[in-house]
Amino acid sequence: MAYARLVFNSQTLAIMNMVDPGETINYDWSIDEDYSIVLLEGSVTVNGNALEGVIEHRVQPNEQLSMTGTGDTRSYCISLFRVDDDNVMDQIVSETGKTRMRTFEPTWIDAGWPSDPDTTWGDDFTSGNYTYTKAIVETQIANSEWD
Amino acid sequence: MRKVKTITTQDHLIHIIETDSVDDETTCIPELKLQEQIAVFHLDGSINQFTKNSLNDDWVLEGTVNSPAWTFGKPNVFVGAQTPTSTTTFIVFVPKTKISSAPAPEYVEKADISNIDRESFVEIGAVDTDKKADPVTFDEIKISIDDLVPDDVTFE
Repeated sequence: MAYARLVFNSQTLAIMNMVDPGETINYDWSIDEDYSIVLLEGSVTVNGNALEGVIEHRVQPNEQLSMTGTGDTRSYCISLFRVDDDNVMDQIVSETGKTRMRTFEPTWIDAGWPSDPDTTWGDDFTSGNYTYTKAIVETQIANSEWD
Repeated sequence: MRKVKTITTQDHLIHIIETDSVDDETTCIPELKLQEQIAVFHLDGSINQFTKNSLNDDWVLEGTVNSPAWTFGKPNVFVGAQTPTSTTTFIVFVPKTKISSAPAPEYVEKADISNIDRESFVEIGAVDTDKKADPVTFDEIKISIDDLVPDDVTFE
């Protein structure tokens, strides 16, 4: 299925989304203000809007993201949020998740980069649609698999 | 060649950096020193990371980052990077609240970011640069005319 995976630091929450042509990622949640997604590569339709990379799009307030891959190749898109924005964070994650993002330091913080990062994210991508729930967001924050 | 494109989003400035050959230097400006931690996501390829504490020091090869990986640019040291792979892509995320403390290409410094409407999406600018660096010492590799001219071309 199409796939979404997040990374974060104390300032930024970035959700990486991957879709193949004809596949859809749906977020089953929304927030009460608009937020940015950036299409880096490929072409998608987002809530009825056709996009081709590189381009930014605003998901509207109270709108659930629905992104379908179009064109011939896999598309990559990032949803961006400010971790220091309480109003936004309280609508996406729990207090535990919010605190973790604001205080977590990876094991490689002194070096600045992981010496042995997990490079198998692409293996998690299988064909089919994908619903990215708040529960998944919470789990990915708790696990911080990018550490 | 290194290609840099900068766009604004609602709350961030994003630098998208791509290179297309081995030994490309990826650092946007010379003597790059960060005041604060900067978040970077490596999408494709690998990067050799170098640091030094002062301008007169030799560069130290700290290690290689292989994509996909989320990294943080180290503050308070000079940083440099070059590519051991034929293609690389990475993205630098700068919250708009931190723009003043984050180094950036010259076209960013000339743009009045603070007056760009939060509701507007703007491509701030783009620049292509051809600069090579040694994978061990980070010394600049001078590109000669011989490197640019194919072997089967002769001048009469």
